[in-house]
Amino acid sequence: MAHLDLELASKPEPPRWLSDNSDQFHEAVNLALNSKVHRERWKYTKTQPILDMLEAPAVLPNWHTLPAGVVLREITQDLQDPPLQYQVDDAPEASSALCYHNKLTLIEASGNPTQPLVIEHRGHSAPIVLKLAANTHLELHEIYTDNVDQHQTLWIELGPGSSLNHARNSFVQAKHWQFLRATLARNASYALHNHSCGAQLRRQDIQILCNEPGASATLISASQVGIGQHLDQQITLEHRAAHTSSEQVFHNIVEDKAKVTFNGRIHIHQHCPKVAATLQNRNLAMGDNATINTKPELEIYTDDVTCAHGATVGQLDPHHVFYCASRGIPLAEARALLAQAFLNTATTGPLAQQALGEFGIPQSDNADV
Amino acid sequence: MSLLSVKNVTAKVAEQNILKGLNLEVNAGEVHAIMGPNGSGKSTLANILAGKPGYEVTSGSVEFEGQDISDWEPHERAHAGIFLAFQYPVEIPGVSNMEFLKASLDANAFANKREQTNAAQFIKHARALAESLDLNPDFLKRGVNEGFSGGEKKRNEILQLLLLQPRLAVLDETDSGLDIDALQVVAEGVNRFRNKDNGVVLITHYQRLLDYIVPDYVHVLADGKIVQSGDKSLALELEKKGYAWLT
Repeated sequence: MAHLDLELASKPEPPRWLSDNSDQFHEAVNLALNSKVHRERWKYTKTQPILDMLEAPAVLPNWHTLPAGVVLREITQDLQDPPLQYQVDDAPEASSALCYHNKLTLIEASGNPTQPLVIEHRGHSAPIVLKLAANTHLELHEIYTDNVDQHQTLWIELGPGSSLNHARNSFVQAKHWQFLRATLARNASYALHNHSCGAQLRRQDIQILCNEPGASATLISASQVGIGQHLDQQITLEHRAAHTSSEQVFHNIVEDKAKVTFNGRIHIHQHCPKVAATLQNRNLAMGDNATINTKPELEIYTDDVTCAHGATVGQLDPHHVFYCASRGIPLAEARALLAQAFLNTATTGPLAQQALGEFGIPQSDNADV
Repeated sequence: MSLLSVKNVTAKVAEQNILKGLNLEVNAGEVHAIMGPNGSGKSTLANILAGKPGYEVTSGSVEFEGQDISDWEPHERAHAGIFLAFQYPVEIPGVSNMEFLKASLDANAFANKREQTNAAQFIKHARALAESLDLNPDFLKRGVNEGFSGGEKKRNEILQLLLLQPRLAVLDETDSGLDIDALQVVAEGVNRFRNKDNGVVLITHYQRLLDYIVPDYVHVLADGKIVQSGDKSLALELEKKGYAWLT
């Protein structure tokens, strides 16, 4: 039996749709929290500080003006039908988050809203479930204000033929945990443009489930991890149907005494031919004491798939630095220009310009190149 | 007026002695072609002049306009007016050509206490230069040399030369990999650049470039030093005889 040393700070009452039996639920959560798989996912970041954040009171996000075709409801725990697909084993801490607040926010979109849905988090948010009806196309902007510790869990369900273009700029300077899970139905497509910097500790869990044929996901991410900061990204891409595809590009700049952990897993289930999946994680160390742990993983149980994955850890190319310097650009500026170029190549989507404005000039203590 | 004075320079790269007593004088208004067999030290000379890290002058002196530049950083040499057109220009995705050119121009203006070119004028000028070199102005929006063909990269080097207007241009095998049409375009750019106030050091393997850029002097570099100097006719002789008779 697993050694149980991770546990929730208290035992919240799960809503009826989550579990009929409170004790059984907590036992399942505790076992999942202490399982080998879960420990591996939290190997480089302490879990308990995140678990302790779960019961903090939620702050209502600023929803701005809801676009036409988007309906938002706050649902209390007495709902009977499950408002989302969940599995405690996959995300015990996120599942627990569903219990701590007496409500969750259900957002349903249909048709083709012409304006983006904007969610401005201002602290801990109650769980959010976003559902797109069949053939609905939506743009989602997720931004974060107020430099306070915060966590969010966002559950996305994309109906057949729908598409979500999701831009997320995380620049708060605090402890920040973001859980995101998207399930994609037939021919649904999901694009994430993920930009971040500034947090003393940021943990990003991203779980994408391509559940039916034709589903496709694109994850593009650029992060700057400043001096002494810590970013932990845990990405799972589940291909559970044939003819699904995914592309992942994660660029991280890691400054002196900063730490990045990246674990990107592509899992192709049995009987899922004609899957195409790529994953690229590039890390640029800008200081001698930067720490980078990266593990791209492929787990394939079907023949006839096309997959590629890779990770690089390196410093600025001295030939590039010299090329800039030979044109009169001083070394420090050349290094900053090249570091920003590295981020630029993974800064995309509707909030790209804002992100480029937020990224600071990367600091380097290495003047040798 | 002397622009560049290289006196009895020895230099090493990765602990290997490459230049072994090289002398070269370049005055304003002159074009010097440097020819020589593979491994003779031509590119080392270019990198020594531009100050590339890892290329170490072990004796002798390199003076630019009367100042010893041996200890100068690459960007300081650029500010003084030394420009290296690379044999293999690097690709830098994420920095647009336009952004890179403006940063270069501004850095040089700042260092020389000149006023920065305003953005609108700069864009207009850069586009006009691109067109004059048969480069689609849309190339200016793309990453520096990103996805460019070999010929486009070399033309981009000449675009930078014309934009920055240095005092001394060192062209390291700018003709390599060019078809005849591109060669003419590049040569025309260099000819447009040359005037009585600047100088050109033209490193090449082949005489054909000198049909389009007529040099004032031709030098043969072999085993790390100049073994023969002459006028354009020397290049023609090399074309017929090769280098063996000189080494």
